[in-house]
Amino acid sequence: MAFNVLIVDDSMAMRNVIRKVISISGFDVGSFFEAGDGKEALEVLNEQWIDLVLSDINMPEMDGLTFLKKMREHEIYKNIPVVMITTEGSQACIDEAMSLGVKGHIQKPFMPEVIKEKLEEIMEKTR
Amino acid sequence: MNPVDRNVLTVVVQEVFETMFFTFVDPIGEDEMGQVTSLPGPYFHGQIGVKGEDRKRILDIFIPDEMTGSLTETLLRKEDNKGVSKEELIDTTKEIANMVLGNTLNKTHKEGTQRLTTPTAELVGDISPFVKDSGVEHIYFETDWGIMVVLFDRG
Repeated sequence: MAFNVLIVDDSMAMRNVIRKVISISGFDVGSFFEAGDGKEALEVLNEQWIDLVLSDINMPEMDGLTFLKKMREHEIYKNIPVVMITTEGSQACIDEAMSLGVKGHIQKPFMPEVIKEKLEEIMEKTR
Repeated sequence: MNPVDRNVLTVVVQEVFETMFFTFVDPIGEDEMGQVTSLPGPYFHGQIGVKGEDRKRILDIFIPDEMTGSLTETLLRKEDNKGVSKEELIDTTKEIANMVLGNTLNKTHKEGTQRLTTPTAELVGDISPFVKDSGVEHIYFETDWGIMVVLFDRG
C-alpha cells in the first residue's frame, strides 16, 4: 500500500531533504505534498487525501503545535498519524506534542535511516 | 557564555555539520584565536534567538559563502551541477542556525520552557568589526573554506 505523505517545514531545503531521504529509503510513497507552515498544511489536508504528516514545530504564521491542535479538532483529520521532525527538543515541547497524539519525534540533525525506521514502525502500527 | 555552554555549543556545531552535511569543522583553541585578525567574508550570516524563562539570547553564525554553497548542494543532494539559488543558500543558513541553537538548548536546558524564534539570514561582507565589537565570547572553526564564526549570548 502506498502512502500519501505531507511534509510541513518552513525550510524548503529541509522539505527537499526529507522527501529525498524517504524516497531512497524504500518507504512506499504514493505522492508527496509540501507546506511551508501549519496554515498551508491545513489547506493541503482540505484538498488531498493524506496518510501521514511529518511536521516541524518552529514555523512562522502557524507553528507545528497549533497546526496539530487544529488537526485534532477536525473530524476527518484527527486520526492521521503525525511525526514531528524538529530541533525543538525541550521536554515541555515534546510532552505537549505527545499529549496531542503525535506518533513519534525525530530530532534534527538526523541520519536517513532514523526516518525510515520511525516511519515503518508507525505505519506498521497504523495498519 | 560559561565554559559548559561553550563546550556544548562547540560539540553541537560539529555534530550538525558532520551529520547533515558530512563536513568536518575544527574548533580553534582560545589561545590561538588571537592569531585570526581579519574575517573579510563574504559570509552568510544566520541569526536565531531563544525566548522565555530569564531573558532573550541570540546566536549568530557566519559561514563562508563558498562553504554555504557546498553545504546547500550536499543538503539538496544536487547531482546535476546546476548550482543553487540565493534563496536556497539563505534557507540553508537559517536551518543551520536553527539546528545549532535547538540542539544546544536540548543539551543545556532540556527541562526548560524556552522557545526558538524564527531564524533569519543574509549575505554580509567583512565581519571583523562586528565580531570584535560584539561584546560576547565567540568560537572560531577552521573549515576548508576559511574561518567560520559562532557567537552566542548576545542580547
